[in-house]
Amino acid sequence: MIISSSAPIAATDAGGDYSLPETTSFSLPEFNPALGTLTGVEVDVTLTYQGEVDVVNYSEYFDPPTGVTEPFTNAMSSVPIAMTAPSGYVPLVSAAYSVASGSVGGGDSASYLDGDTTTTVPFAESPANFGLYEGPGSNTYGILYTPPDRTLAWGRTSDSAAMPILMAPPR
Amino acid sequence: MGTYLGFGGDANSYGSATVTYTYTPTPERSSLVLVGIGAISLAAVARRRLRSRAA
Repeated sequence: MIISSSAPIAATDAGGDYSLPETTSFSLPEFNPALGTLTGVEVDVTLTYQGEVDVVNYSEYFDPPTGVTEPFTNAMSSVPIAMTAPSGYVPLVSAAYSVASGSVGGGDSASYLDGDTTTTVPFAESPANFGLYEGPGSNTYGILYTPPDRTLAWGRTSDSAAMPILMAPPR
Repeated sequence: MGTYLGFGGDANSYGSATVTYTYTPTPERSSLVLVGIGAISLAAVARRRLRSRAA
């Protein structure tokens, strides 16, 4: 027999932009063991996500400020999104985006936002962990952008050797 | 060329999640009682036939 329950996942932003939090959590009910013996646990996550590329021109911060407009090619970013399940981290998707070329004026920054991508990622729990899903209450799950076993990546591929790579999104 | 540029990234998301439990139901007590009564009845019938053959 089969029993299912659903919950919404609130909007979040890896950089906390637009007043959105950087992480969120949601709850799903546990399986009542009085109903029988568990033979399968599957969590299906349907996620709508966007990747973003940010480029900033630091020429105004040099001494003396130059204020020159700078072109760029192949700017890219890749932000992994994961879920925390009762048994640990579950990689879901990578919100990747790239911009072929552009230019940014001195002291300015530019943000390039990808369109929406929606996908459903199934996660089947191993039988050894079924006990974590049994009980009278609910389990808490989380959405993370920087799980410990994955790394963020951004920069540009054509001539990145000449460029510093930012360690945080520009604001 | 490109001396003054830095690059960063960001992402956002929202959605929904569904948990599906597949299980084998625990037999109800009434079902167990019926199975027990059935087994006893079959045994009684078998015993009666054996006796009638022996007679």
